[in-house]
Amino acid sequence: MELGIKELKERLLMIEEEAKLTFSEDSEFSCYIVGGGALILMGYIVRSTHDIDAISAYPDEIKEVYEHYDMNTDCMVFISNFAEGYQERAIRILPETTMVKFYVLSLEDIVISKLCSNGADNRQKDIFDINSDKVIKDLDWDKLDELAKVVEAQQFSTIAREDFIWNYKDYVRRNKNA
Amino acid sequence: MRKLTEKGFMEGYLQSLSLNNTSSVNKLIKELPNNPRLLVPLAYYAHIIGLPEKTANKSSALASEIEKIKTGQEQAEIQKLLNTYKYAAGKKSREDHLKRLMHKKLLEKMAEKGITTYKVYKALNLDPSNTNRFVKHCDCSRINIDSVRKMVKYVEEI
Repeated sequence: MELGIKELKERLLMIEEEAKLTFSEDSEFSCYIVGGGALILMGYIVRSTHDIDAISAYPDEIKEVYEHYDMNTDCMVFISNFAEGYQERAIRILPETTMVKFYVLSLEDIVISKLCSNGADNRQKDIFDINSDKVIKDLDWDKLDELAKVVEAQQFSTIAREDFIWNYKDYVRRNKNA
Repeated sequence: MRKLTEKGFMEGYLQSLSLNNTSSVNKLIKELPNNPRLLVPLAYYAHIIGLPEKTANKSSALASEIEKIKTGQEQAEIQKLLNTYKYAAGKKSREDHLKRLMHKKLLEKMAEKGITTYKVYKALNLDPSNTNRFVKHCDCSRINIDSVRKMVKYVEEI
């Protein structure tokens, strides 16, 4: 069963294909892939993913196309977990697509968003994704620190902020200079 | 195309989650402490195949997760798994949907440029009968998606 990088790329190309058959030629959409899907597409983890999580899936008219391919665009609910300016730091993937421009968030943005995850079970799973040697080796720790400060300030509640600070400090302590 | 069963899907899915590329329940149980993503899918698989209690009890985390599933405590996680299964099983219907969208475009371009079905299947070396059935009746069952893609590309570029 193909649920890894190859399948994810095929899925994105089919989204582009359906969009081109559905919308007028001058339509343009941007799609920012986050979470495990982004890590798989960047080659940081090799595993299957339930669905593709994405943000900025607007305008709304394309939402239906995304949904055909199990792309979850409800991540806007968690927008406070993504440091302001994530669009500028995102990396374009599949440059051959013209109507739907796909991006993956920067590695640092993804790590920070995963550290915002709450609930013991979720946290354990999300942190597992960002604990790989390759992720730790490629991280720009200064940039991570900069983004951590932004996201900390973006948290809506004291509990969420404290949880994030604890997760972040723990992650840095275990992995920086490891 | 063989129908993907829930059990078959779960076996492939567990294998893809495994760090050792295995679908053996015993090996997956051993992997559990180092691979937290396995827990819910493995417990669900154990639940649907009726894994003997003796095997499940090799891991207390697994036994407890199976219990949670039985008592309906993991609805959201199970729903995610079922959505993935539904997605994997729905490959044909998604492709048919795309074929129908392409069919519309194909007809438009053929009419606009005065291209006959004969010309299309001759130029692309496609099966005449299956191509005709697709063009005339939008019968998606006998033509693969890549052939339809080729047809659309051909009528667009000619």
